Amino acid sequence: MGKETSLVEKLELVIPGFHGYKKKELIREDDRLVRGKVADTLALARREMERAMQRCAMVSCAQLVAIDNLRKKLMALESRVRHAEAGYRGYFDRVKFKEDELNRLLEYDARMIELAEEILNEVKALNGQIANPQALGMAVLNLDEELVNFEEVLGKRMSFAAGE
Amino acid sequence: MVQVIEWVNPGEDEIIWRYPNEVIKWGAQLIVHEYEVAVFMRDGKIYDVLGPGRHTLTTQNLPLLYRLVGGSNSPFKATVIFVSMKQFQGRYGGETQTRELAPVKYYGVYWFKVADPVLFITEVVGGQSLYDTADVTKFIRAYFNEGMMKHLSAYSIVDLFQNLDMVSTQVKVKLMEDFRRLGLELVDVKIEGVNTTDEWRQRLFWIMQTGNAQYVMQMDTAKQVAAELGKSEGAAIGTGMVVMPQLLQQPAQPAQPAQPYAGGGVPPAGYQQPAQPGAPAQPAGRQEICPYCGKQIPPGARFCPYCGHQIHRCPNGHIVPEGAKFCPVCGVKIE
Repeated sequence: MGKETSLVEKLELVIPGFHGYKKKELIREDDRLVRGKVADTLALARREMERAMQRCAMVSCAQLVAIDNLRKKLMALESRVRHAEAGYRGYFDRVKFKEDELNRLLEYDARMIELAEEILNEVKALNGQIANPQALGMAVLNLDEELVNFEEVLGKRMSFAAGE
Repeated sequence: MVQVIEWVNPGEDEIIWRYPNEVIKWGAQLIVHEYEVAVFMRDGKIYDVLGPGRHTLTTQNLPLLYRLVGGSNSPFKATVIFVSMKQFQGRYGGETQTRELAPVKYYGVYWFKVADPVLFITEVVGGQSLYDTADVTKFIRAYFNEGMMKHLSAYSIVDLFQNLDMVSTQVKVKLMEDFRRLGLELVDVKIEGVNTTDEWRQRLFWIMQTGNAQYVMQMDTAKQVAAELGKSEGAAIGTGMVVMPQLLQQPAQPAQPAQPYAGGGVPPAGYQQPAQPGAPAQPAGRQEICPYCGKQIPPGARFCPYCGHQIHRCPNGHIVPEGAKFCPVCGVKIE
């Protein structure tokens, strides 16, 4: 499989007055792919968290409900990232969205990849502390902190995509 | 003419919809919305799961070719099955018993979504054209009932009301794997209501007040015997004089007062509240428990400091049920 442009797309890219739209469309597609990668990493973290919940239920640890709440938060973030706005603006919209802005969206996406990886690591750390109640409490708080950081970056991306 | 395939206006509870036409033209346009995926099958095999967007289908149904090979009936069958990826809500309910064998009825809701469309279609849906939440609920009912029965029977009834979130989370954890096995994802489970019979509610009130389950059961038996004796005119007085005093006799050693479990996790079967080291022992008969929330309250309290309910008392200070005319402990009339 390759990501090269097809013959029709190459033609679209050279037609004057159309190539700008086509280039923007391709950046949006790239943005969608990167967001998909972020959402997949968060989904992986969620599954790891569900594993942690199962282990937690086995030993009746007191943090089960707290971990479940973080799981729900993670699910919400995953969906928000996957279906986030892609910076589409119609011809008559007051706020325009050009190639530079679309590239800024990709920068936000790259930052979100890093944060998603950190979240995954935190969840793995949490999973390793199920049998240690005190360390588990700290791991829950650390993960909550990571989720808040992620939400903040996502919020900034959403505001930027909305032209604010 | 281009053939456009799209799931228009899906119903609120519909999870799966099969495009009815199996002769799909070469180059047909498949429109998939953001909240769904389309599973594309050709010649009986699943070829791809197509995400949101517009897709051009390459079936073998070129008009010239299928007329040549199959005449009027094309052998190149293609199927498109739409799967909704949104969250759905199902309902569950059943009956079980708590730790003290009190019958309880429970009911609630759960939310789920399709996680793996191919697994769900091959394992659950099969050849059906339409599949909705009622079908999933029917399919999964036994898992819910088993999970609920297992967890509810580990709690006392008072403790159950205080730990509903923990119970529902534990049931959810147990059911997650069962759902995943079917290609579904269990998002959440909530218990909307738990109820017991009036008889048991009254009985539990007295067990909590007197702290003596054996005595309450004995009184129940005495009441039943008295009711039965009342039916027989001749033998009632004589038999009653012999039987009733024995039935009303106080048990020699009163049992420990009923204690609600206060821990976070599942209380182990036969849980006994451990004595706090260093804490002064409560004098016998001084310990009082709020009949509404089950927590220990200061002796003589007029309101529960935990749940705020008013505590009704007889002139001798015994806790009585709301609206009672006589104190069931000392028998004094309540004004």
